Amino acid sequence: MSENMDFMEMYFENQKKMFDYWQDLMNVVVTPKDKAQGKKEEPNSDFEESLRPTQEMTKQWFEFNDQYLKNISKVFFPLQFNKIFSGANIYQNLYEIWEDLIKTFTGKDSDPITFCNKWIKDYQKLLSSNFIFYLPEQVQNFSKKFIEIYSLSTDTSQKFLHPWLEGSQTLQNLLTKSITGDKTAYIEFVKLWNEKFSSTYGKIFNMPIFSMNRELMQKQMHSINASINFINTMSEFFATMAKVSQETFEKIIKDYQEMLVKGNNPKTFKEFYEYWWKQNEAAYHKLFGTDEFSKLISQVMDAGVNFKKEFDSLLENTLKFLPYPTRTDMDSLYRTLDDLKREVRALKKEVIMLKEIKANTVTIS
Amino acid sequence: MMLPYFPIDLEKSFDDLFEYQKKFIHGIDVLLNLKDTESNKTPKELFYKEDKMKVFHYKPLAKKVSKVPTLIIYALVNRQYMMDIQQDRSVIKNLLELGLDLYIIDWGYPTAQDKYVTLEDYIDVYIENTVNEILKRTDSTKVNIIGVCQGGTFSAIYTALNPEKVKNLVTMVTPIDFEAGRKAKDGYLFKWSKDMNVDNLVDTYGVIPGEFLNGGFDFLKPFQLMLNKYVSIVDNLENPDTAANFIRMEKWILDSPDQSGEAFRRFIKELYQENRLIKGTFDIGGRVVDLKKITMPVLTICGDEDHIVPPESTRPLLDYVGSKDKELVSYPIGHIGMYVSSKSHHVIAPKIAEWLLKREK
Repeated sequence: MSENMDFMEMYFENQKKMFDYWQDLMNVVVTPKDKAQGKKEEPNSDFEESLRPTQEMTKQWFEFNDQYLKNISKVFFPLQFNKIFSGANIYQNLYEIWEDLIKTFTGKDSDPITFCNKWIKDYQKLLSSNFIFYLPEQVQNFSKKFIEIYSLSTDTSQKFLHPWLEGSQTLQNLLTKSITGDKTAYIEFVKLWNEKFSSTYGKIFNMPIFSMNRELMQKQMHSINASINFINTMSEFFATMAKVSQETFEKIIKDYQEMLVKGNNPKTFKEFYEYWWKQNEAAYHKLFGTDEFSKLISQVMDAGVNFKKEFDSLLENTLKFLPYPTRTDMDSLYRTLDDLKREVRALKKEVIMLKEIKANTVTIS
Repeated sequence: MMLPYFPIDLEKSFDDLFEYQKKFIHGIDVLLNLKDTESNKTPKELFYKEDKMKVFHYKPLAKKVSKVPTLIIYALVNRQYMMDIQQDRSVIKNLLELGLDLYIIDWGYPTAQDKYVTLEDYIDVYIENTVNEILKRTDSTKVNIIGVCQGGTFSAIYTALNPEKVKNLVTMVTPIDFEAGRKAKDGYLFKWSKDMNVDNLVDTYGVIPGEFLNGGFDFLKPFQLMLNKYVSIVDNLENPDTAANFIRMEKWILDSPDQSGEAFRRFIKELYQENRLIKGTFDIGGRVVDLKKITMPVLTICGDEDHIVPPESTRPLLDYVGSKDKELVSYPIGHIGMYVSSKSHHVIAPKIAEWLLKREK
């Protein structure tokens, strides 16, 4: 009974508050001071400003309802009310997440990483603090553990994908630029893509492996990784070469047009061919002399060598049960042969020396 | 016939194209009937052999032959018969006719088992044993050495370590200062090798494939060497002699032996990358190579248009040797032109022979 009394008292209190809010709202739009100064009762010129009191009132109205419902739920059908209440909460929280999402992807200063971090946390919170409530009590603890594990795995995935998320905008921009004909952008895109790949998926191929076939599997993974690295490096190399080729061709067309105007253009195809290949050669020489190209060509060579190394190792592992000597077996043999050859050479020298000493001794005696 | 609004001689262009087609078809016919495309034909006999190395002694062709034997030390890259590519332009034949007594090292073709052959083996064993054998069998006290390209670097190293056995030293298109080569306009090989992970390459391959080096050489002038060379030869393919010469050169260019891994590793690392020979920190079997110990007469020859070994990397040898009698000669030709051009026949070979014979006493 006392609970009922409390409720009624609170209900009246809330009604009173409601009228106070309404009154306040009206006062904000046109204050008594404004009236005294003869200001006309016109709507606020600043639309957003004019909405603020309404928003404030709505907020307080929601808070009031919240209190109101909570109190009601304590009296009538507590379980059902609580569930309805939680449902509304979920809906509202989900709305907030969605709102964030819209803001992030439409805002000028959108930051996908910060959004994702916030989104994951909020979403987990939403699940753990709302949905679990609907589950039977026995299962609730189990579910919390599950969410903990889920949270752990999303953290790890996020760490794993972080380089991609971090560079996604740049990658997208570079790709867009390269599609519209920016040759440098394509090279930058390939470089950045390689970088992101090595720091994410590339790591998978170098992960320690367990089980009986560990060695073979590890070699397979390393070999695949090395081939991907080689292909990536080659892409960068060919993009660099293609860029020079395209630029030179554009220059040749431009210069040729100018020569046509001046009348000093190559007059026959043969002359044009001579002009064409010499221009290309000169352009490539300019590229070859740069430190960047020097580094790139070394990277290509190294990536190719790494691929061969890993692939050879995989082949050897696959073939070791067949009755053929592998390269490692042969290397060991070559080493032994080389050591023996050196020993024989040294002994031969010694024998010759001893023979000479003996011959000299005989002559003297 | 010029087009009225487009200044292109269309008629001549078509004539050129038809002419090219005709020459191409004739050229195919010439190539199908070529008989003599052999090189390395100047008479010689096997003088000494050790492992894969063979030393040949050329039969003298002059009435008066030099008393000082001359040993030609060629590079490990490509083959020594470039100096005897064709009879009418053979540097070897020319030198013999001018009175030199010639020996030449043929390094052979290293195979997988040669992966452990080192620079010490090449210099302290193979060259050393060859020189000793020549001295012993000719009853001489000294030899002349002509070092070619990388063989010139080996020659300078050997001479610095054994100056008492060398009467005169001639280096041709020889890399000595690798840092200077890197700074040269066309020194791409020197530039590219700076960042090369040679350890990984040698550890993986053991013996470095000749194709790898050939690819690198072609890449130095991609349009000239991989395209224009084959386009422009059509103009001269109708002439059987020109066609035969072209085929000989092609065979020689593609005849690129594999490289012993350990020797390659040190050559790239300590010379191309670290420039140790010039710094005085390069050693063979623990003996530091001091170029100042080269005190005999030295002749250095370089090509002004050499894109494989730029003259900038060749010339400094004379600044580092201890010789008083030293001469630098440069010609407006490239690396290969030094051995197969008409200039090599008419000017360079006579210069070498004359210079050596003058210093025989």
